[in-house]
Amino acid sequence: MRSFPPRPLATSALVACLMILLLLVISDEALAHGVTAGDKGYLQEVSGRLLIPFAYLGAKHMVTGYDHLLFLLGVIFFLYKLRDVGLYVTLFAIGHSLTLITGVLTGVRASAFLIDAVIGLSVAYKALDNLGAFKTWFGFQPDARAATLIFGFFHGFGLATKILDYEVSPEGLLPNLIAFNVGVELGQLLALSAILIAMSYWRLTPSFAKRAHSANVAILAAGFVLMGYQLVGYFVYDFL
Amino acid sequence: MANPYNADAPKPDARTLMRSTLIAAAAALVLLVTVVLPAEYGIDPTRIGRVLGLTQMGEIKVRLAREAAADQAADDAAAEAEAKSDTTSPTPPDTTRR
Repeated sequence: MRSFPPRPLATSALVACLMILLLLVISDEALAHGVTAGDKGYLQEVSGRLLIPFAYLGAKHMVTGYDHLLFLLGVIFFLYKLRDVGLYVTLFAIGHSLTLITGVLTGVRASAFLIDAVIGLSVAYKALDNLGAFKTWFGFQPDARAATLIFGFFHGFGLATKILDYEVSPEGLLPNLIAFNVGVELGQLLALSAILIAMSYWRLTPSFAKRAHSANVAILAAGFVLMGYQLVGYFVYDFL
Repeated sequence: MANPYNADAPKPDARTLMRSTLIAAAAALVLLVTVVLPAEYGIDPTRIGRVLGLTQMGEIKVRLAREAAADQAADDAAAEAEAKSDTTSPTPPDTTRR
């Protein structure tokens, strides 16, 4: 890594933008949480224990969901140590595993629009947190670990609602759900690794501190857009 | 690790923070009203979405979703009626329904 010639900032920024664009293109088909008809059809056809397919779908959901990715980007923005990243991944995993499994098994569902609006809120929250807004405005720093856990609950609840919509066969449901969870973890690690590599390059540039501010403002705006998009959707699609 | 929150990271002062937040909110609002809402839901208060050709996309999406929901409801009702009549006079299974 050290043998790389120093890159001008523009190159690094371009690489980061291209990666985000690529992710957006990939996820275009599956609009955030959207269901590709293919996956839904498949899940309604099959029954029984299908660990690898469910793990794949869990991973796909994370890697192609730009709202999840934005949240992750916000979370690791100022995390430098791999150990810290690991802690956050674990907290988030505990959060979403709990609500995913209990949500599906109890059949408790919420509007996908409202859950996605909360996920948009989590993106905005994390961007504000990175900007130090809570300390500046309210004089205290909320525990980032608690926030990650709580938003993990919501992300998992959203996943549960999605799986309930899939009308998955009850046969082999629990092992399939656990496999789905493992897949979510794997997909998350994959996405995190990619984001972390891009971030590491970016941090090497001298103007990172200055651009970090603008980047978090952009993430904040994206969070607001997601919230508005999903909240309006809740009212437009009231016939669903 | 004592504090996972990186206190050393550069933080803007209160004025910059407020300005940045307002900029983010304004940018989000403009994007939502002129691009996202027209393209997703056919909601176009500024008429800009129509000019950009996005409003039609949203209108078609919502119409298709309505039709799909209506189809689903009709299918479900037909299946229910069929299940009821099955108890008295068995009919061959309908293979056309997914």
